[in-house]
Amino acid sequence: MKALIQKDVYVLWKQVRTFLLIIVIMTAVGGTFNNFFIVVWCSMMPYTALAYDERSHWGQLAAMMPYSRRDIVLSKYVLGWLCAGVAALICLVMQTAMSVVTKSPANMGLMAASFLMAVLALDVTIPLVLRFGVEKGRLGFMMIVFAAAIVGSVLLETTGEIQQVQGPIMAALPFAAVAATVVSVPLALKLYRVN
Amino acid sequence: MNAIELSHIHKSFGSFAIQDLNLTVPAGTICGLVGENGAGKSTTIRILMSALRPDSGTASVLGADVSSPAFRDVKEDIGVVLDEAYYPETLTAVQVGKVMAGTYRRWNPKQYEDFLQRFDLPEKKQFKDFSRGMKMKLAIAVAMSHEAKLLILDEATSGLDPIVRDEVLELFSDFTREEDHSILISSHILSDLEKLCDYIAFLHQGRLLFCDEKDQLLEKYGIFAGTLEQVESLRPEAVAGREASGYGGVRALVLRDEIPAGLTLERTSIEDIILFMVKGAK
Repeated sequence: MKALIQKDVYVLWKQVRTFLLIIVIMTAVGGTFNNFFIVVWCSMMPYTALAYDERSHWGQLAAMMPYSRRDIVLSKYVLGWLCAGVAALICLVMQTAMSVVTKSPANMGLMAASFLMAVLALDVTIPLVLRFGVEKGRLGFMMIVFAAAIVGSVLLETTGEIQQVQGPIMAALPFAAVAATVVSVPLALKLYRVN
Repeated sequence: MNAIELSHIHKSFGSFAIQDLNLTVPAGTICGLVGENGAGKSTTIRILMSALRPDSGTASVLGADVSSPAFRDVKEDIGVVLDEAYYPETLTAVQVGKVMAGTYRRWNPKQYEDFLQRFDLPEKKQFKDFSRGMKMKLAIAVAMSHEAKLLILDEATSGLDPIVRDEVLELFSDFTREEDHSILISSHILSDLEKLCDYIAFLHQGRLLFCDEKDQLLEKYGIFAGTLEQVESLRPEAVAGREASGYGGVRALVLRDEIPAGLTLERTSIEDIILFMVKGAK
């Protein structure tokens, strides 16, 4: 699996520099949304790697090599976790550096929540992308984000204040992320099809 | 031991199906897999490498059942070159080498480097800027740098210029000097296969029409050139295929053992045998 992740890192390497620059700029601007967005956005990098794989039909070649199906599928999850984790870390470092000026401490809770949301997003979308390919999978991802936004706004309307639901959501997030991963990985293994 | 054994393989895709495919490639030999586009060559290779599950039948490679978990280890001993399936385009030859070092336990970086130099492949150029010939050369370099015992090559010589093609064929031929080394190669360049192979297997519309020793095939068949009346006077079993040759003449692929003694026959080639058989089948 290490070789597969190494391959994806090589594939994404040129874009990583652009990503780093955007992360630095957005965290410098600050704001809850910016930090949250960066982490979830970076977790989507496996789809860029998958798009390159599809274009070169790498999946067909990989099926001939001594990789297991499990390695191929799991490597995409690990890559997503790594990207989201590194992005969250950079955000934290930037927030700490900015705290000298802003006098507000780095928001560990926000970054942990962002990372867990990124894990959830990966859990929902990776099985779709591995089954239907990047193009159709992205469409599925958009629909899921749209549905989540509707559910969120309905929840807010019924509860009134975001602070009222923030605590329970934060407490539930780690369990939700673990549970979703436990369901998502075997599902992705079942759905994986060489595109 | 046989390097490859396919027994009664069936695989249906709706409009196309591999039907009752039986194919054996003895260890230490080179088998050419011939067929038109869509005849089932790539499907056969995917079944052999456990990338596709057949509807029925069994497949074993280097003594291991391809559906068994142990086959993953056997893949260490198989070098594969595929037509139209490459490494992601932003990778360089050096990066491909590093990824393969983590993929194959017996990866030989020195050998890979030697191949890159021998094939004149740039180390730092991205794969997307490679010509088709360069891509094939890189794939061949990878397939031959992890001490494989079996090479499975799907159109591996297409896109190569005649000089490099000749060099690559020489390489493949040297590879089988080791008695446990074998090759299954599919190609549309029949002259390459005639030069290289010990066995020729011919797939037509998902069916294996024959799999015979090349020399036996060339001895078995001959070309008869004569008039239509002369060809029609031959026993139907003796004629495998025929075509008009102009000026009212007919050329026919015939079985040497089935025609009357004394009839003059031209020597045939693998290309002739395949072409006549396809026309005969149509």
